[in-house]
Amino acid sequence: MIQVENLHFSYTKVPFIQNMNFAVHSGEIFGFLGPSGAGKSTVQKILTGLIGTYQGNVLVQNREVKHPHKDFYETIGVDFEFPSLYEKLTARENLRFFASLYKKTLPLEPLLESVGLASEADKKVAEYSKGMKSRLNFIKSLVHEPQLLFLDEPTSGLDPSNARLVKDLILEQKAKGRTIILTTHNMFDATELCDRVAFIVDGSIRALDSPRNLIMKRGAHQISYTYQSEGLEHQRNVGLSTTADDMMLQMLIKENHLLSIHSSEPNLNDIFSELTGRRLQ
Amino acid sequence: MKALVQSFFMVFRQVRKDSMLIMVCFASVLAGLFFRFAIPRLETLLCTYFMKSSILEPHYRLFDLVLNLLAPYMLCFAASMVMLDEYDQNMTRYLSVTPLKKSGYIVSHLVIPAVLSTVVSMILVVAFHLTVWSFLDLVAVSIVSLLSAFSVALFIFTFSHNKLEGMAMAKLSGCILLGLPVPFFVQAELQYLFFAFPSFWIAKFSKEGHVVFFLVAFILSLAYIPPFLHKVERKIV
Ligand SMILES: Nc1ncnc2c1ncn2[C@@H]1O[C@H](COP(=O)(O)OP(=O)(O)OP(=O)(O)O)[C@@H](O)[C@H]1O
Ligand SMILES: [Mg+2]
Repeated sequence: MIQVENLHFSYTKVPFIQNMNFAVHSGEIFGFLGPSGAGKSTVQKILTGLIGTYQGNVLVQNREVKHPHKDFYETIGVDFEFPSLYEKLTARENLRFFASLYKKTLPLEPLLESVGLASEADKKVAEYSKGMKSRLNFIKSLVHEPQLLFLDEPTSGLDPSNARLVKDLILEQKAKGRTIILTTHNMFDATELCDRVAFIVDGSIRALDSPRNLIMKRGAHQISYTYQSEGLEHQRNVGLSTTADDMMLQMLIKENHLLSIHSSEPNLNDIFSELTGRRLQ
Repeated sequence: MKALVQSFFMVFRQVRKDSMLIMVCFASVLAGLFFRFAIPRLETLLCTYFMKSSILEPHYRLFDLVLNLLAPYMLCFAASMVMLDEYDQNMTRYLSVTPLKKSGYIVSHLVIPAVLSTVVSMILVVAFHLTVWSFLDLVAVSIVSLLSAFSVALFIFTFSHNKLEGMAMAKLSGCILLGLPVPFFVQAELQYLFFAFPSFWIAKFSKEGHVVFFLVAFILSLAYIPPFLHKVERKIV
C-alpha cells in the first residue's frame, strides 16, 4: 500500500526527516508513535502529497506522491491534527460541502449518528466544543469511503467515552479492509489499535514492529507475588521463564499461602524510553 | 470540475457572510457611478469658477483606467481575505488533500474570481466610461489589470498570517495603482523611475498608444506571478 525508501525532508536547511524506510501493508493499522515535534505529522503530510519537496521514494498505492493525480484523493481520507471546518456553517452544511467535492459519497445522516452528532448537526461549528469538532472532523474524512485513511491524533481532546467511540469506528474501518495510518502519542491507543508501530524521534524511525513483539523482545515478563510470613507481607519477583526454579513460589503454591500473584509486562512507554532515551509525553 | 465549482461557490458563500467583503465588492460599482456622474459635473463647476475651458477633462482617461483596475483589485482582495480566513481554519491544507488539490484550490479561489472580476471591470468601463475606448484597447488594459490584481492577491496571501495583517498588506499593495497617474503628471524622463509598475506601462500605453508599452506591461505583470505562486504553494503545507 505504502512504500517509503530513503526519505529525506526538511522545512529549513537543517536536516530533519532523515533516511526513513518503511512499508505499510494493505489492511493494517500502522502507527506512528513519538514525542511532540518528532515529525509524525510531517510524514503524514508527505504521504498525503501535501509536501512534494522531499528526497527519496514515497509510493502510495504504487505511485509516487510528489504530484498526485486528483483520483488519488478520491481514495484517501485525511483527519489532520487540527480541525478544519467552516466555523460559520453548521455541521451538516460542512459535511455536505466536503461530500460535494467527491464523485461518490456515503449518506451523511448515519455518519453523524455514528459519532453522536445527529441531534446537534444544525448547530454552527463555532458553537461546538473541542471534542465535538474533533468527532466531526473525523467523520469528514470518511464521507467518500476512502480505502486509505490518515488519522493524526484522532482521539486527542476526547473524553474517554468518545475516545472509545472513535476507536471502535477505527476498528470498524479496519474490519472493512481499509488501511489506516494512525499518529498518536498515546501508547495505550497504539497498543490497542495498531498492527505495527514505528517509534519516531527527531525525524527518524528508531524501531518498527508489532506492539506485542516490541514488548516481547525486551523479554522482561515478570511474575510478582506476595505472601505473609511472621505477620508481615512480603513481595517477590521472578522471571516468567524461571518460575520452576523459584522454590519459595513452589512451596507457597503447594501450601495455598499466596496472597496475590500477577505477571507484569513492560508497556510501550517503557520500551519507548529504553529504545530512544525519550519519554512519549 | 465538480470540486472546482463547489469550491468557488464556497468562496462566494463566505463573501456573502462578511459585510466588509460585500462592501469591497460593491466599491468599484460605486466608484464607477461617481466617476460617470459626479466628475463631469465637478468639471463644469470648476471650469466656471476658475474660468477655464478644461481642468479635469485631459485626465478623464486616468479615471477610466483607475476604474478598470479597481474591480479586479477589490475582488482579488476579497478573495485573498477569504483565503486567509480559510488558512486560519486549516481549510487550505484540508482542501489540498481532496480531489480539488492545491492547484484546484488556487484556481477556484483566485483564478476564477480574478477572471470574473475582469469581466466586471470591462462592463464597468463600458457603462461608466468618460473617454472613448476601442474594444481592443479595453481588452489589452483589462488583461494587465487582471494579472496585476492576481499577483496582488498572491502577495497578500503569502505575506500575511491572518486577515488583520492581510488588510495592512492590502494597503501596501494599493501602491500598484501608483503607476497609473505617472504618465499624466510626471515629466518625460522622470517617469521611468516607475518602470517596475505594470500600471505605469499600461497607463502609458493607454495614453500614447504604442503597442510596445502594452507588451512591457503584459510581460512585467506576468513576471510577478511565478515567484508569488511558488511561495503560495510552499505556504500550503
Ligand atoms: N510548516 C512548517 N514550517 C516549518 N517548520 C515546521 C512546519 N510544520 C512543522 N514544522 C516543524 O517540524 C517539526 C516537526 O513537526 P511535526 O508537526 O511533524 O511534529 P509531530 O511529531 O506531529 O508533533 P506533535 O506530536 O506535537 O503533533 C517541528 O519542529 C515543527 O516546528
Ligand atoms: Mg503532529
